[in-house]
Amino acid sequence: MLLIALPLSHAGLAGTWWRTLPPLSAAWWLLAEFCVLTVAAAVSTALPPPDAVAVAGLAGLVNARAWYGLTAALARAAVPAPAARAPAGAAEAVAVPLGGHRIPAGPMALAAVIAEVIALTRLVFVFSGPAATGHPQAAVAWAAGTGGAVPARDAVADAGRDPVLEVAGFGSWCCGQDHALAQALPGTVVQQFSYRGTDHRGQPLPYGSKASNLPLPQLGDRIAAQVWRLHEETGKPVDIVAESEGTLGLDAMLALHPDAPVGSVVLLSPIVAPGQFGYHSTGSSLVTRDELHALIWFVGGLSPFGTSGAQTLINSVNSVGARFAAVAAHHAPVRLLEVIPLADAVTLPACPLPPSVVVIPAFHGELLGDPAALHTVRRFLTHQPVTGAPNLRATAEIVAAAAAAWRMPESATPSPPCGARSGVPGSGHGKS
Amino acid sequence: MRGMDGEPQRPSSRGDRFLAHRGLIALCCGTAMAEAFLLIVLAPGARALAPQVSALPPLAIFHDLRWLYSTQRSWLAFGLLLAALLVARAALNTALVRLAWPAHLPPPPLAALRGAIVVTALACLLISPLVSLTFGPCC
Repeated sequence: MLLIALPLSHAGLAGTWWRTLPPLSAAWWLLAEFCVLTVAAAVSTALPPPDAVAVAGLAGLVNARAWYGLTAALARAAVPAPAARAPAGAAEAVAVPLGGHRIPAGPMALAAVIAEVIALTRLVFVFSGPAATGHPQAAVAWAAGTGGAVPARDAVADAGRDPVLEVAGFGSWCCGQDHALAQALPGTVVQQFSYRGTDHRGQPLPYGSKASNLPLPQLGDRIAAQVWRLHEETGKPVDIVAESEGTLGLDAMLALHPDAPVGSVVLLSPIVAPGQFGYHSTGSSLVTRDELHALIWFVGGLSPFGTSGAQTLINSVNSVGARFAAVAAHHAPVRLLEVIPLADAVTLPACPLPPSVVVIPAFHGELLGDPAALHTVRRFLTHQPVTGAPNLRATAEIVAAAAAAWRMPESATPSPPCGARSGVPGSGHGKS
Repeated sequence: MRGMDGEPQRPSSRGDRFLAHRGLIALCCGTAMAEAFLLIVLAPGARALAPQVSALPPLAIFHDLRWLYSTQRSWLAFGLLLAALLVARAALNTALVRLAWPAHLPPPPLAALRGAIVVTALACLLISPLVSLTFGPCC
């Protein structure tokens, strides 16, 4: 946002802005205002609502100082020295550029910024995105300690704990994950969920990275089918470790299949309050929907998933995501742990984090590759106490409150995940 | 001698202190406080946005567009609200420029309002994709 805003920072303040680049002071004032408004959001969210008027007044004072500083700098640059001493009636003088050239420097800078953003987006997908088409291997269930893939029924004989179903996120593939969870849980059957479903023997079908573009009800049904199959084979409730899109699928499963034999649940990089912000919470905003579709189409074209790579999933999240999350929140007691990477704090609503949340210093996705996250998950699934870092929880709450300045306006805090909290990390019952 | 903005201060500008621009301060603080008051009454969860109403143009337009996108329900309503937004934002920005203008320099002409509308429209066009991105977390 700041990249786009920077070339516009002096727009409209001088008649010749399009011929000039913003002065250094314009960038300084824009950044200073961004910081002040971010802090003001955090403070006004933390204080009782009536105090927001006073906070807004103080921030308004900073706004005034920014207008004064920026306008003064541009006025000095735009008005020739003799005009500075001219009487107030010589207003036309301000429209005369000092340089006199007619190169559209402002629009050219904007175009350069936009091109840079597009190029960076493409580079991010090229260097860190998943493979466009995976090379699926044979379907497997991993029994920790065996060192390789074994059929689920054979693995069950050695399993000492509840089986675990690992539901990877968008763009994953089966069975290309690194078995980190299986290796961390000796004596436990760990099976990967397949977005394509299971074969006649209940084994997950191999799938490529594009298979995760599913509507949520279908995703919920497939997770439930695999959970039931594991339950039938082991006779035990099934623990679930779901990540990112997998957490949406889990919500769908809990909403559509409330009787599924679920034991403990771990949510990694959960999608918080899906579909609760935006047009579906405020009505059918056609413009927003169409523009969002166009944007997804464009960004999808830059990604390995193609122009429609996530459209089905996103449409489904917008239509039923909030409802599934609300129903899942009232599901019958489920032992729950939510592992939130600190980078995701900007997406969290501005409310106290529930006790089931543990914050770790990481980015979104593939948390089982993070030693700290894997350690936390292992302790939770083996029924050992889980204690997150209190400082990181506080940091995440502050970041979430500050980020509220730059999110869509919310008439009220979303529920879930905001609501009554009690207990200690990892011991909460009921999806909060 | 140099001012806070790194520019040499001319003798005529020494009397042009920030606190002397009372109209600017009143307008910036007043609009922000008024929006904060309205939001506390109508949408307390969104009160963090209130100070942005009088921010510098790109940030203020980002503020406006988020409200526009979160409230409109049809193309007709969108068009009407967008037109109102363009005029109101351009008028407010023009007023803020005039109030912030150094006292020793000739003020910008009122015709600048026309240019401000064009600039506001351009900014809306460029910033609107970012507004769309702020809609709901997905995956």
